[in-house]
Amino acid sequence: MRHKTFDGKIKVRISGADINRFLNRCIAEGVSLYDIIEIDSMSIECNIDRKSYRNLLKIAKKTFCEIKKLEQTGIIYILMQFKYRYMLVISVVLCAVAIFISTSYMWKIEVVGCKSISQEKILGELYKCGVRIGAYIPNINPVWVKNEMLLNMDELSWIAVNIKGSYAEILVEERVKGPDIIEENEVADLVASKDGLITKMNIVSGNADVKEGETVIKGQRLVSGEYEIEGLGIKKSFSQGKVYARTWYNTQFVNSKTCYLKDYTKTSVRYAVLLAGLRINLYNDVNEIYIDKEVNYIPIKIFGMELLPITIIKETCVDCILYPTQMDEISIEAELIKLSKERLLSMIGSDGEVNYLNISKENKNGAVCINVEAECVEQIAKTVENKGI
Amino acid sequence: VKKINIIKKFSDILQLPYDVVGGLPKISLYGNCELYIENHKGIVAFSENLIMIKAKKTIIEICGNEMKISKLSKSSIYVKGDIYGVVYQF
Repeated sequence: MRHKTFDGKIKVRISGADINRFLNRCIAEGVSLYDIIEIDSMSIECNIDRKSYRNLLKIAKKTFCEIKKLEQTGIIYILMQFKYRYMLVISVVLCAVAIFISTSYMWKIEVVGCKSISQEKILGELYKCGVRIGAYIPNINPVWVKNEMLLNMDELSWIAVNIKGSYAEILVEERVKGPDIIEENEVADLVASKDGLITKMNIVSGNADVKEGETVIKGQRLVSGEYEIEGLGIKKSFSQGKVYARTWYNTQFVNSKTCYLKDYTKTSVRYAVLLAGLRINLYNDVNEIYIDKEVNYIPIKIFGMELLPITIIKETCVDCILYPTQMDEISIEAELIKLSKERLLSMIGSDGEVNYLNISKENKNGAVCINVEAECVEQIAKTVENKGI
Repeated sequence: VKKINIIKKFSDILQLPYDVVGGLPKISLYGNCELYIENHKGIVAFSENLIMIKAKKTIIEICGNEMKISKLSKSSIYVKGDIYGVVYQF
């Protein structure tokens, strides 16, 4: 059987003295009837096509029958219900157009695979390449972006730009730095990077110019890459090795007892909207001197998913006044000692060690002064270009 | 009857379908619930227990219960319901 879902069909009741004549007339006129049911001896119910209804009325008039419309079904009748609801139709059309247009723009960018590089840095570089929230997607060439990113960021070894609809997935693989390549053809010396007393020498290549127990000064050559061997002439090599020496440090750290603290006076909350990368402030400009600001980015989520490129920015602003105050001497001292130890460890390197440490305190012009005397053992050799014998 | 016989012989000689040449009704009955008639000439009577359909030189009487005409068009009639019998009236 035919199903007139779009064209529509009408259920009618036909009443008359001679129903059979009516039916035969329909057959003769080529009007098809469906699901004819007898109601009583003088009336039937049937379905007809919407387009045949006018012909049916003519036939009924000729055969002295009466037609009563019972029901109308079909998509066309549903659509006809919106005939006078202009605003609803316009809204639906506008929504459809807005959805269609918005699919051409970037709504979300996600960077996957970052370890040591910050996402902000990658997003910044992507921004320069035109990949940003609100960008017109047909203008983005993923291959070009990929090449440009690899050229601009040495830290990356591989990148993939996958654009899935309005969402861009950026997969990155960071570059693993290989060991320094030693050019064996080059000639290099080892010189002292600091003053010290040599305690241990591990020479892999080159000729040692100094011995254990000798005192060296900064810049003095420790291992020579070019040296003469009796009977064999001059030999050239890339000097390698480690030279450990006792080194001494005498440093001073000073900190004033006076510091400035914040006195919070007023707290205010203000909002802004980030719409596809465009920030719209929902507040007037305020004086930002001495303001602590806490910013929360709240993405709009639908069913737990970030489907829209809209983010609410909530800024909690705290007005404050800086006022001077006297700090506790013990806490300043502890802070300085901690700082001095950190500084010392950073100077002697990871393989160095502190043999002796003396920390003394004194007050100088209202400030706390920490004197650090340390004796360490550390590697002092560094490679430099050879300057001849 | 003579005319029918001539047509029958003619269709036999030319090996043509008899219903096409003679314009006779073609009735397809599916079990006892569906009946399909082609080459009809109209409806003589219609009720849920009896449907009488006019065809060439005959009236086809369909007896049954809760019958309805599922489709009625110029070329065919499709009847649904509990069909008890089909009788030809000459």
